[in-house]
Order: sequence, then structure tokens, then C-alpha cells
Amino acid sequence: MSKLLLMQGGTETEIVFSPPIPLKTLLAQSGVAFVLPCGGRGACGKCAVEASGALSEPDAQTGTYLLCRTAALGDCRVKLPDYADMSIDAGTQTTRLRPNDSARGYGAALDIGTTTLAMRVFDLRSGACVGEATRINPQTQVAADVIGRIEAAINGHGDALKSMLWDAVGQMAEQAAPGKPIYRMVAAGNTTMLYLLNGFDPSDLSRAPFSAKHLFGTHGRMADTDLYFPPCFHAFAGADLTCAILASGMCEKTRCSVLCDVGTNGEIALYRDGTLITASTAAGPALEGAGISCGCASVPGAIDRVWREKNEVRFHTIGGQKPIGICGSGLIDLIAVLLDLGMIDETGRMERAYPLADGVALLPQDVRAIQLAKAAICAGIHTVLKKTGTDASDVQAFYAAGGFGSRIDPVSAARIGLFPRALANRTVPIGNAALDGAGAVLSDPDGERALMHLREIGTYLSLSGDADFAEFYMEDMLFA
Amino acid sequence: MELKEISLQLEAGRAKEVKALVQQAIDEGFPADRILNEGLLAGMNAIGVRFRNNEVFVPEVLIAARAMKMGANVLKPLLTESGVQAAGRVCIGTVMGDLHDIGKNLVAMMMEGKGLEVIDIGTDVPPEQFIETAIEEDCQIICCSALLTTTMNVMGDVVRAAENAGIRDRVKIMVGGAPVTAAFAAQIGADAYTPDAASAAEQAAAFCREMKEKQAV
Repeated sequence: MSKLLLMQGGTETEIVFSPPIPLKTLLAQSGVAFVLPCGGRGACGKCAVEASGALSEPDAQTGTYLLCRTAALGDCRVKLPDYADMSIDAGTQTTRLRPNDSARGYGAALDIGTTTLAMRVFDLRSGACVGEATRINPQTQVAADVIGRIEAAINGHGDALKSMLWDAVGQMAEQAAPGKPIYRMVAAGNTTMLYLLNGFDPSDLSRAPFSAKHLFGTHGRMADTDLYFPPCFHAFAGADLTCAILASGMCEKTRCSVLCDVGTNGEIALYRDGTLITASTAAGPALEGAGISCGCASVPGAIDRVWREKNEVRFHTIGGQKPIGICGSGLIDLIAVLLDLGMIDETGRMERAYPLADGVALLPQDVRAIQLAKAAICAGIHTVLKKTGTDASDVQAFYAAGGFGSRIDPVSAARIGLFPRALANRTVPIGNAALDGAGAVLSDPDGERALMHLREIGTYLSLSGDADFAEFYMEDMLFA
Repeated sequence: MELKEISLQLEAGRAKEVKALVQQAIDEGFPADRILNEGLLAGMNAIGVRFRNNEVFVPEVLIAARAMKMGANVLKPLLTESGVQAAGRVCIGTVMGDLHDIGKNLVAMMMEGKGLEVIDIGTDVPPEQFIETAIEEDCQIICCSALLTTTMNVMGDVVRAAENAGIRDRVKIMVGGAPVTAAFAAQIGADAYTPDAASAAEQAAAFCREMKEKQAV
């Protein structure tokens, strides 16, 4: 037997094991949460940890120990980043629900994202929010992306994936509202996450024609808790989108409006005179800083704002700490600034790397990765506008949802063409609207009916193979 | 005129000018194969090199490829007449279960830019269709694209289907797409993995040359 000394956030834990064993297996077995951004393919180098002792060879190129590729061969020490430090933005739109005198106990609104989980617990009678909790989706240690999770579930790990989620949900409820029994829970999330939460076989989500057997809008039970899974539109337009649309109020407040939830997938909804068109576009994780040489998540030390003062480029880091990388909102700002300075031309060409801070530089290929991602989002919106014969000037409001969507600067976003420029001055950031929508359904007796109505008036528009989309995708890749 | 003018206009993506210049070159009596090689293909080649060096990106390649197509359409009857053969024939598609086609389309364009004839069989293509097309269209190369880890294994089925159909010795199978690696290509018995469109086109052209030389021996 050997010992692993695990250091994280100032605490040390000793784990006894029989070598040799891959570190990721050992940590998972020991219930330690960690993040493998590329799903353990050894491709991104972002899971590098400080380690010493009897370990397999470090990565040949970088000389670092990658969590996903290193095996423990005997006594060793590993220092993990303090993931708990990650400031996950749960959004702060709704802090109070409608009071309901006939209601009793506590209810939880939950948003199950591919990367992060967010929960808010409410006193159902008073409508007051009594606590909230966020954490990294523990399934990220199995795979970072949705397809990797689907694959794992198909290969017999469905039960493990399911219990990972429920364990995390239980812990979050305990953190948000210690000792308070939850009578009702509304679980928003993308279609795949709802499948995995229910332990359904996601084979139908894994390949074309991607027709989901389960679109939810259903109730379940967990011990004494009534569970509600809001309806999904399609395999790629899930309950998170339905709840975000509800929270935005776009179908009541406007005659014509567009909502976009920016994440690894950009989910889009266009409402116009009683009809709702939804679509999904695969942006990839670049806008969240993954796959970008200097990119990082929104953690302390991440450069989240970049601006120009006269001819000097200034930046701000989360927590005011020493810069460690650039997160999504900072990347968009930086590219906008470099476009204004003429250091990136309208085709996206950058002559040489741009050093922003000590050890943090934007490379030409980073700009290319951002171009691909932003073009996917922008072309998705352009296509939906075109298919519905909607002129951008008819759009009364453009709702930017999601933690990321709310953090980005609308001016920078318009400058790089993340969204159609014509919508820039109508941008309404609405935070984690999926979570807000789930919360609204908790206390509103008509909430479920309203969600089902959205699904009834909604149709899904597939963008893959669409000629208009392909055309917009090329055009929108430019910074013109 | 100089044929270099065609390649320069093509690099700049000026389709109308390319078309006019190709017609002018024909009128001035340049042989069709020289117009193709020193005009159109030289221009696409330059774009390919600049793409690899990160100087130009997908949109410029697309615009140049459109210009190339306009010029090639003018030239086609003459090429056929004078018996100029394409450098090789390729069938390309995204495998069954997968609908992603942007990468595949780019590869197809770059291959045309290398003077290869490309038969694009679209997305969600079952293994048998790759084989049938390769046989019917007399292709030397089958190119498979997949963007999903859940569909990339279909590429292995394509390799086996080629074996079963008895054509494995006369077609090269190339694979690509975000989750694909050289190790995966080797594991399923494909002939090559290339990480980007420019190198895919180069690899395909190299395979075709190789196979032609073999035939000649």
C-alpha cells in the first residue's frame, strides 16, 4: 500500500491506495472533485498540477504532470487547485418569488449546466430566497463535453453519472439551506443533463437524426420531494432554454424579440407574433477560455476586462489578483481593443503574439479559435432572423442570457461580431435566466402551464447542413 | 498576359476577374493545362500555404475557392477536349450519424485547389455509400469526416467495408475531424490522418501521385 498526500485549499488529506493507478481514477474513487477540461484526452494541458514523488513520467512537451495522464506508482504528493474558489455566477436577477399563503416548506430551483450547477432555495410561503449554492458539475471529471458524457452513459456508466449529479444536488441543498426539508424542486438543464439526471439511455441523443425520445415537462419523486423537469424543445434546445424564455418574459413583453444563451452551445430563441423559433449552434468552449493558449475559466486572477486608455491597454483581474490568464469576457474585450488599434485586421489576421501581462499573451491562433466560435453564434442568430423574415430593426429586445452572456461587454461583443451589430443597442443582460425561470415555476401555480405553452408554440430549426447558415457562418467569421 | 495574373487575382478572391483572365488566356492561345496549373492551381496553392501560416482564414479560402470554380468552369471544356486528366479522384463525406459539414466542405475545396476531382456525398453517409461511390466514380481516395466521438467509430466501418468489397488495395482512406487523432487512424487501419484542410489536400495529392507512379511501373 502507498500513500497519496493530497493538498487542496490549505487542507491536506492522505489517501491510501495500491499502485499503480491513474491519478484520475484514484481521485474519483476517493470522492475528490476535479476538472479535466478536454475530458482527459491529454490535449489541452489545462489539468497540470504540482506533484512530486513516485509518479509516471511528466508530459514530454511541457514537463508538467497532467492530472488526466499521470499514474501514481507509489508514495506521492499532489496539489490540486482550489476549485471551490471558482466564482461561479449564479446570477442575481430573482431574489424573491411571489408569496403564496397556501404553500408550505421550501422549494429549490436548480440549473444543471454541462459545466456548472446552480441552486437557489426559497421559502415557498414568503417567497424569500434563503440560500444558494453553485459548484462544478462533478461529471466534468468523466468528460468535459456533452457528447463525452453521452458516450460514457452508453458504455454502462449511466448510473454513476446519475448518482454524481444527485449527490451534488443533495450537497448543494444542504449548503444552501442546512436542515431545511425541500418539498419541491424544479430542475432546469439541457436535454442531455435531464436524461442523465433521470438515468435515461441517451443513445438517441448521440447521433443523427438526434430525435429525443424524452422531452420532459414531467414530474418525478425523490423521497419526500416533488420533482419537476421543465419541457425541452429538442435534443439541442433544452429545459434551460424554455425556463430562460419564461424568465425573460419576451413572449409577453414584446411583439418581436431574440434571446441567446451563450455557452459551449449557443441556444437561440426568436419570438414573433405568437410563434417561437428555437435553434442551437455549436460554438465550442473557446468563448469560455478553453482551447485558447492564454485562456482560463472565470477564476481569481483571470483577466475579465480589457480596455484602452488613450493608447495604453489596461486590464482588470477577478479578485484583483496577479493575472493567470484571460477568461471569456476579457478575450472579447481584448480582441475588440486590438481591432481598434489595428493590430488585428478585419480578416482576423494578427502579425504576432500580443503580450498583455506577464506570462499572458494572445496568439494568432487564439484569434482564429474565437472567430470560429463567435461566427457560430452570430450566424445562428442571423439564420433565425432570415428564416422568419425578420429584419433586425423589428427586434425590440435582445436578451443575453447565461453567466457569460451577462458578463460580456455589449460594446465589445458588437465590435467583434459575437452578435449581429444591429442588435447591440437593444441588448438586455438577464443573467442565469434558466435558474430564474425554474424559480418562477416553483411558486407560480400557472408556471408549468406557461412552460408547456412555450413548447407548444415553439419549433426547432436545425442549422446543420442549412445553406443560409453556412453562408452566414463564413461572413460572420470576419470582423468587418 | 502572364498566367501569374490569374493566380494573383484568385488569391485576392476576385471571381469575375479570374473568369475574364482565364478566357483571355484561352484566347491568347495558352494551353489549358498550363492555365490550370500556373494560373488556378498556383493561386489555390498560395492560399493553402498562407492558410497554414495563419495569414488567412476559412473565409478567404472559401472566397478563393469560389473564384477558382468560376475560372475552372470556363476551362473545363478545353481540358476535356485536350484530354487533360484530373490529378486524382476523391469521394468525401461526413460519416453516418454526424451532420457536421463545415470542416468537410473546407477539405473538399482545398482538394479541388490541388487539381483533384472531388465527389462530395454530403453528411450522415453510411459506410456502404462511401464504397459504392468510390467504385462507381473510380476514386483513388475516400475521405471521412466526423466531429463526434460517438460517430468517429463509423470510420472503422468504412475501412472494413472497403476490405469486404475487395477495393482496399486500390483506395486510400483518409480520416479527419476534431476528435480524430493519428493514433486513432492507425488503430482503425486508415491510411492517413491530417489535422487541417491544407495538409489533407497535400496528403491526398501525394497519395494520387504515388498511385499513378505505381500504375506506371
